[in-house]
Amino acid sequence: MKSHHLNQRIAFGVMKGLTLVVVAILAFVILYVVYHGIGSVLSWTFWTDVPRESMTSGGVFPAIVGTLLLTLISITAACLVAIPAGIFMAEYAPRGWLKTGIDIMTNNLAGIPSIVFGLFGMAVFVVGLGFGDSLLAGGLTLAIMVLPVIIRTTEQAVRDIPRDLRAASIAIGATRFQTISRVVLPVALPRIITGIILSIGRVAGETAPILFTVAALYLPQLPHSLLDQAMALPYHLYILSVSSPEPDKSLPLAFGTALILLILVLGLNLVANFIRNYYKKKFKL
Amino acid sequence: MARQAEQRFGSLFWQAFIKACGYASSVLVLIIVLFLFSEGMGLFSSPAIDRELVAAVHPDNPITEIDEETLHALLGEEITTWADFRSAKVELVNVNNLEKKLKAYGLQGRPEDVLGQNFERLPLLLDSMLTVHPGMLIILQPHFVPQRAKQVNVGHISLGRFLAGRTWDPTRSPSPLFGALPLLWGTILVTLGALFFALLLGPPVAMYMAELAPKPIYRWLKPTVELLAGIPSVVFGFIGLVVLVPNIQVVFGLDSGSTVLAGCMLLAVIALPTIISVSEDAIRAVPRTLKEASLGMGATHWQTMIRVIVPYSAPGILAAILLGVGRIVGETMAVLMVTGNTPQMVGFDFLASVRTMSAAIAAEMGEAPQGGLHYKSLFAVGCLLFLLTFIINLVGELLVAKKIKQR
Repeated sequence: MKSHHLNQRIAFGVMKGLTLVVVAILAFVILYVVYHGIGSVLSWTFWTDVPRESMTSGGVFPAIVGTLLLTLISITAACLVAIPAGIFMAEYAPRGWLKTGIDIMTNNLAGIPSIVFGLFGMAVFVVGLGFGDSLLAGGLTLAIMVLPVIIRTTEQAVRDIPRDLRAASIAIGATRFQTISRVVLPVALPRIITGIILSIGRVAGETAPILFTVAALYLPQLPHSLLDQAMALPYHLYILSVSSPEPDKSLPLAFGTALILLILVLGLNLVANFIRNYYKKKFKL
Repeated sequence: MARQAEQRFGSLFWQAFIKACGYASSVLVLIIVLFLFSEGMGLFSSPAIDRELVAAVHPDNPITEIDEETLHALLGEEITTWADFRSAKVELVNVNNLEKKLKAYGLQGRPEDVLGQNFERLPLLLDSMLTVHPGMLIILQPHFVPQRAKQVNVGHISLGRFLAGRTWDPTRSPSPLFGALPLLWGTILVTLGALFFALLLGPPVAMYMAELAPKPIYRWLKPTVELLAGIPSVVFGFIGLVVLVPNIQVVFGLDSGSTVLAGCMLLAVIALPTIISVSEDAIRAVPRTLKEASLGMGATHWQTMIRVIVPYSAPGILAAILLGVGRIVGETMAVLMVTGNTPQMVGFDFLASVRTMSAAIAAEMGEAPQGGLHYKSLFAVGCLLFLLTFIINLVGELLVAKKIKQR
């Protein structure tokens, strides 16, 4: 009997230790980047200047603008299709094998490697539709990448609305569509927004799909139209760390860029969590 | 009345829009597959030779088509005589050895001086060489091939050679080698190693979170794992480059720390959030009654975990692992940055440098001319990558779906 309890204590201790390891990995990544990157990030020119002297000094302003524009384009495009598609999956899609098939398709869409989305975006938007390397091509490629994520959250959010709410709406004579647009959607909206916010983090940090659809190695001026190339933060970090002519000099800039990306992801996660908790309390879902 | 009609029209419009979006996104996967494969499969209907080059022989040479295998043997000088053509000695002339061949033929000085600025006199010269060496095989641009020479078809690149070829040299001239095996093996090796680390950490942590963690700790732990999932892979790649790679170099005394091992460690971290959260869901899905029955019979919590919870949630945990593998196989940036990027067959050497399929696409697509063989071959690698992740994810999803149905 004693040995059983000893076993249990050892096993639980190991599990606790391994959990600590995972937390420590995250803490290390964040603290390491903060420690080395804070110097760059605290300087004003890092945010407002263009990269100078073959990327060994100056700032990352064009990359920040590029990433913001890319995110804006892709999230707008993705939401336009994904939110209706999610509502469709939850409310309209016929049950049975077709629904199962669509479900499997969407789930698999989420599992496609990001580099494959890059290939697809290149074949379709850059070459096929003739957009060239441009914000539009990159934005749409990223949009397709996050489509399944937003579809899933929307579907789940709409599906989890309590039956009573729907029944009440139908009972006072609302049509199905009125119920969806006036009752279901407003209640589901906070969760959908949470999903969108997390997608923003994904889009802003993704590199592989933009490698050959939009990213410019070095482009000091800002893009003027949707069909211009642009710099982007994740690609800039990649370039700074693997192909800088003077790695030692560009290292602080690379840490700064990594820190901006981390702050972005951290901030978006915090906001998403806040919204989630706030509405959980409000609607008691 | 008019307002009602307007509303009715509006709702009809939006319903149609919703349905259209739903159907559109459900066929999206098919569209992606279509484009990917139409570009990738183009590789296997292309001749195994650079697209701007042709092969030509003496007009009396009976050969009309050279298949891929023979071409590589000819280029590698494994075949030195034409079997069907009076056993004439094969004299290969291509861009790489043109100067040498001309010298051997007795021409002195720089080729530009002898043949003219744009090699205008080359066809004429080759024509006369053809008379002396009937076994000549010319592989050049069409406008350099003499009128008299007979152009032969070059066989298509075969799927078998793509899948089983051991050399990936897509820029070799005149006949590139597209053996994807080193890339596939690179991916497999990195995945196996990453899986080792991920399995060490993932399921135990999931078990801790689902069964043991006190509520206040859990409330911190869950967002922590989500945050880990949110960190861009390029940031992980960067950390790997500045922290893991130099340390691996010192610890193992290597020339370069960019190794499979560095990739494995990074990818394990990247796959962890997926493995932890899906396993956690699976463990939480174990019915209370089962657990309570076990505890009620006097089993300790640990015994209950090992003998009841783990067996019951095994399919779910397996699904979690498969979904994690899906992520590892498709991950690009981190692998590209830390594994050294050499396309070679390495066996089970975790301290060697490899290039994975995803890294090959990311690294080479920028230099591959659009529509050329290299471009198509990278799409073919993309197809292979897609199929691999598709199957892994499909099995994972089916396992999860089955579990949900059982409940």
